[in-house]
Amino acid sequence: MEMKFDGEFKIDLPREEVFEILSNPEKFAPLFPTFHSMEMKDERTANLKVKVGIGRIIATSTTELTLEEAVPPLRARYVGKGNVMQGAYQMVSSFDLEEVDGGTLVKWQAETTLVGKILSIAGGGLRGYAEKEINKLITSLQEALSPEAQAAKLQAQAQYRGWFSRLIQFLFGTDKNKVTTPENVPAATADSVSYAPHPADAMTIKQESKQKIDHILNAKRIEKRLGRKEDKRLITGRGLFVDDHQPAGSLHMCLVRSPYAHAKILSIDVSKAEALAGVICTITGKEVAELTQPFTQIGPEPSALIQDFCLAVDKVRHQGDPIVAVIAESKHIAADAAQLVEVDYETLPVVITCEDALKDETVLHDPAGTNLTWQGVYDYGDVDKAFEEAKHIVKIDHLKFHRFSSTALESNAVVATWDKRDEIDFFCNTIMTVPIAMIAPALNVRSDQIRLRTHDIGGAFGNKIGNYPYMTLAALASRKAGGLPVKWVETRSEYMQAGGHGSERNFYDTEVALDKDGVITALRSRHVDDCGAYPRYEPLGCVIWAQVLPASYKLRNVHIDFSQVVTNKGPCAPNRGYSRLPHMWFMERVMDICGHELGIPADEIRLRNYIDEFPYTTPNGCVYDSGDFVAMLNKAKEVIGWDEWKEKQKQARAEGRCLGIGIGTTLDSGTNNFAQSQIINPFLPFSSNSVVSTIKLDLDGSVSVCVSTFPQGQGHETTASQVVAEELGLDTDFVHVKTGFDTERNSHSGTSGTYASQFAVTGLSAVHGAVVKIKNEMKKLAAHALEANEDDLEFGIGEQGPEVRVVGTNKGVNYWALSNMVNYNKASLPEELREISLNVRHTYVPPFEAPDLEKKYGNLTLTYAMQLHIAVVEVDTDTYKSKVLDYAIVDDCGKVINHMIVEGQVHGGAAHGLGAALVEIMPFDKEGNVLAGSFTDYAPITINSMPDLKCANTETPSPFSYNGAKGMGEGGGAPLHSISAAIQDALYDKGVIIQHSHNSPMYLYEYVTNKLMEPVTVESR
Amino acid sequence: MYPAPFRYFRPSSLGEAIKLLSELGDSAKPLAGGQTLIPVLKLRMDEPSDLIDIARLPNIRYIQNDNGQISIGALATHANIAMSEISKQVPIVRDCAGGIADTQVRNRGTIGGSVSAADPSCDWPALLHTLDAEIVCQGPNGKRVLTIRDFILDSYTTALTDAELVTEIRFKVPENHSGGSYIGFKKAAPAYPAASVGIQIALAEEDVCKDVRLVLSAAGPKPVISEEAEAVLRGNSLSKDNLEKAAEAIIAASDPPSDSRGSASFKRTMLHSLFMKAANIAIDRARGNNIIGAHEYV
Amino acid sequence: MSESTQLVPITVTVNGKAYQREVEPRLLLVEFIRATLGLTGTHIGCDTSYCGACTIIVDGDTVKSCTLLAVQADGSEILTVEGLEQDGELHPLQQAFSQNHGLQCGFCTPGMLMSSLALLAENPDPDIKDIRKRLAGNICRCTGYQNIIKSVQAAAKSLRED
Repeated sequence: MEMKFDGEFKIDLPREEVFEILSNPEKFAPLFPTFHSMEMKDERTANLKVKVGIGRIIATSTTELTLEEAVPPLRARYVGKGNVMQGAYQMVSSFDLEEVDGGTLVKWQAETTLVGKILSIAGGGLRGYAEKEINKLITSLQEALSPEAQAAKLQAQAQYRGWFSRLIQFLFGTDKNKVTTPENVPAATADSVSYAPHPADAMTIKQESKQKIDHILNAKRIEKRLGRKEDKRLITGRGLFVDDHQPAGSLHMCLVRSPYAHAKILSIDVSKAEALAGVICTITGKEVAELTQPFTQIGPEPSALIQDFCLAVDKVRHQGDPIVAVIAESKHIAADAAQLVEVDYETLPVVITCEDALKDETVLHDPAGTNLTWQGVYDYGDVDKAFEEAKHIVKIDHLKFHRFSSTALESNAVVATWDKRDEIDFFCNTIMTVPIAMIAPALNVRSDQIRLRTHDIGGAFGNKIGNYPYMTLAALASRKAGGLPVKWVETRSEYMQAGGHGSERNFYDTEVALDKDGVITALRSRHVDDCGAYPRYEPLGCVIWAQVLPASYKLRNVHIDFSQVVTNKGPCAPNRGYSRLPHMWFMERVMDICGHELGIPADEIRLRNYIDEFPYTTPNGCVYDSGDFVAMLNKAKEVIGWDEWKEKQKQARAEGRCLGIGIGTTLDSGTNNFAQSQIINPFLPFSSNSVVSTIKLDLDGSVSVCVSTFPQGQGHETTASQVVAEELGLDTDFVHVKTGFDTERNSHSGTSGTYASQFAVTGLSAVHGAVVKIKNEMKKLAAHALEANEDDLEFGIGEQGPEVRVVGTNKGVNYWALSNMVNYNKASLPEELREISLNVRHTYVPPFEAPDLEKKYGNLTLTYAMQLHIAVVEVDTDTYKSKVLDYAIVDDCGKVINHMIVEGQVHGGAAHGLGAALVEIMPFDKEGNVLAGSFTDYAPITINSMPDLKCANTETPSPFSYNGAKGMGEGGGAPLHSISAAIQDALYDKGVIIQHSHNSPMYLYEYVTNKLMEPVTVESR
Repeated sequence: MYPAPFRYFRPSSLGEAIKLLSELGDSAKPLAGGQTLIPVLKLRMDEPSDLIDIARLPNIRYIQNDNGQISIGALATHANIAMSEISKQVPIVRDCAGGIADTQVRNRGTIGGSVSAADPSCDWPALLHTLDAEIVCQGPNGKRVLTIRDFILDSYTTALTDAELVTEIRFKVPENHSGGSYIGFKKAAPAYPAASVGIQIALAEEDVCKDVRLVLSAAGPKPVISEEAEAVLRGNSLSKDNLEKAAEAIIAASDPPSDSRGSASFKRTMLHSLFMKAANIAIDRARGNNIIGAHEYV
Repeated sequence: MSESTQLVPITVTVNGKAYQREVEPRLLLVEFIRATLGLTGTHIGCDTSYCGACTIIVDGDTVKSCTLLAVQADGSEILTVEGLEQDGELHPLQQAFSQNHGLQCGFCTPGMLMSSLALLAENPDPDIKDIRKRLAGNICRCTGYQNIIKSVQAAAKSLRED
């Protein structure tokens, strides 16, 4: 935040004298009204501490003040830099002196740049306070410079030992503000502490509340069946999230982060931090650069040349970029010590917008030499011909998808131990095994030296894929600290700076060709994605969106020029709906805007454009497995009462009220073909996908299942046990699914994880495959034990528990017995059965082929779940506050495995979408300050802002999965589409076209009243 | 996330608390509910060397009605006040007390703490202007009573001198045929208000205003009041036209900051919208109707 | 501040059990519960008193334990999520949450349960407005709140009927 001030004042002292004081830091600095202390660094530079504050919040600011220029007796100029209250500032101020009758006229000016957390806390609105402080300062400077003050000063100096003690006495109030103790007050000194009990008058109020709580606690308890296997531990507070894991002797890591968005690191001084009792060690970027390899980059050159370490090395590239790790015995000491680290920066120009990044005037990563991480053209059909033949051409200059994030309630966290065995144990909350591939080479270890495990994860929504740099750093810290566990738990403020947010995307120069019926035949557009300061999982997003290239529509001719840039903002990470969500929003906007421009109602134009034959091969070779958009739209209309709302809309419009109805159609593509990464970088050795599951009858015959997923609330234990139980004819109580993920279980592949809406397909297919395998083994054993034919056997429960028995008899062998034969009683088995282990592994590999890299053509995802939302919104014509009056959702995720879990995911996805549409945005100012620096500013959507969701579903089973299910967790963010559409519908008569994905009252108000719409034109032939 | 170290004292009497505060100077802070102070400490925006816990000082947590003269002890929590008889009698008090942040914060935050903090976007400092409240303070030099207007001086700045504490808030129950309303707009309950309006009206007849108090919050460094705006309504008809004029006058006197909660222009528009809503509810309540108040969330 | 750190003796009753400990003044109540007493059911989700994941009941009232110092709770009676289960038997409120899928990842759940318990203790038949107002300071990022409302209503019904 930049601020400029200037003014003038008169002093009745000769100019030479005034100049003498103002140009001598040793004399000038103590004149600050809240001056605390100072040290001269050299004859022109003072390190001073002053108190600055807002009201009663007063903090000490450290400043280095240097006299840059002195032209006696005319001019003095100071340059200052320092820290204040979770912020950093730089300042240039100058004084020009003029002789006027009897004295000196001082003309002063000051320019300040302020960065840091303090900006976000004050919401970017600090100017008023700063002005006040500056004015106070100038007034007291003026007073202090006056002849009376100078005389008094000399006198005071004569009385006490130097001006310094005078100031100390002033500060500690022994001179003024004499305290008179009221009578009858018991004597108390600053050292006495008394701990008073509760005062009586508050007791009654507390008693009533306590009684009510006690009463309800004693409610009758009846045993009931619970909803999910996961629930028992979570509702009793016995979940084990990373910070709940408290190994004895753990140390704690706290990070020093840059307040600047772009700066060179000139020097780091950790001596004061290391001197604090309880601090074990520190780590700086320099050390990291020596000890580790930079993280593998996914993109091709030049972005492959980016050097990304777990701490910033020579430069910081976003506010919050970590530069020093402090490791201490407690979280408190680590935080105290982090404050004592002194860093000297030299600021660099800041790149915030895509447009600036593309110019490459300021480059973030010198080794790459450009801010462009990737660029490519997706071209299909005959776009030029389609435009020649078009009846209508709609041009939309600019659409913008904003930066926001799912903000899982549990932040990034890890407990890392790199101990004497030279093995690294991560108890963490990442959500894929890909981090192992990132961390191992960075730390120069083999992948099998790493144990990666998770237990309960408090939400991730994709973001946590990006936390591997912190895992790497914590491992280094553990090794440096002698092999003790090191815990790092991200604070929410840190997350708001650097925790991994969804990327923002700009859609430029869109041209749409339509035929006479409003059917889109072609589309041309230029898309620029902004992934923040370090790509990490990017630029994969540059191809992921292509899974839904035509969205829900049948256009065949598409030309999209796609690029991605880095900017001085926190590094992005996949965020619920990763890369497809912005594209779906874009296509829905296009459809909606075309409909409005051509006068075709929103439902009608969609019906004319929807894909209506499945499986459907898109222009770029993706195969939409199944679906029925028309059925979904009809159902949604039924659920919301479309006709009644249309009537009400007519009425409302007659009354001058802005009521809008908006449709949002979306796709949720799931189960990735990782070969699409080769479209980004042909050298990447990735293709298809694999998900592993292992199942065994344990030593005592109990059924134990491992799925190589990292669930964060999706209920994998429950659905996996459902599949197994069904196959084995058992109640799910007999099936035990291991919680979370652990490499030690040896049940994973390189792409294992919980991401990209796939579990119902990949995870359950793997589980299903494994249980089928083990059933075969069990049958063989049972056939031998029961002297029967395998074909005459069935699975079920008998008097002795789960068993395999001969159909129509009670001749069975239970699981304990089966396990016994294999694990303890090998001689009871004939030779040919002794290889059976009852411990099987199945890998599910989806049927993918290699895409054509040159044409960027091929099947990139296996299944496509769909959602269709309809929103009814009324927009206040003064404040532009949107009220959601009604909301309907139709979900189609193929065959539904568990209705309760599916509906829960639909609700959750809707909440994220509504939050982003109406409340949540992550803005930056031009210095790169994070303006939504806390939850209080970002305001994740609360229960008060969630409408009642009316949900229904249709089922078009997928032909590509064994169970007909489609992965569906992400959802597709349809509220972003439906709310944009509804608001536009509400305001269309006012000439408003929604071009931005975020429409909170504050933003929509500015957008409309300041006429921020960019051109939309229609050419009809 | 974790405060810097400080020393902790829990005096057993008000006198002891005041003495401690005087001796320790301005690096000591009083701690009541902590809903303002503790978040500040956790972000290390302030690092006092000493905290003086005054939350259990006797005889400062009460809500009394002595024949229409209300006295609320400074340690009464927002929840205490929201659920008290006073709130039932004076709905504008419940609008404020029951609308601050969320349930958990209201259970701890105190009216004394809120008033002493003088946060420009917080509710009590503004609301008390609609009731001509008085603030009772006690300090090393004894007790004094200030009007709310003399008490709130500037953003985060009150007339409290060193080691002085707010001990009581006083106001009179409004006369019969009075009604008030306090409405704020914020992104969510636990977020900070972006704009708030308080209106207390006494009716002469059905539609004529006998007396009025207007206040805006989050609209400048301190609560915004306007004699000019009140003069438009006092003694005159409460017509839509007059209400619009009054709204315009008081908003013209405001200075809402442009920040991440909205531009100054947006906030003024929101203030206007809230003003008209609050006015209608106040008039409706003055006519004897029971209207349940609620803030506006996105 | 590095000369002998002040330690303040406190006595708290948590879930019916009395504890006496000496704590640093700056120790937050949520840290005391999680780290000092090892009751990790109460969670931390933010640092500006917004999210409510740390909600517990102190002397009959719900509070955000991240915004209280442990020393302020001296002499208090505290109920955390671990106190809802008695002798291995779940409280109807817990069961209602599970049966109505009012939790997914479970991180916000302890706070939600405590706020819901306090609501039902005071108001055995809350309508949706009451539920929304009471839970306005409890954030969930998984469920979209729909099933949480359902769970509270189901719990209310179950408590009235059983």
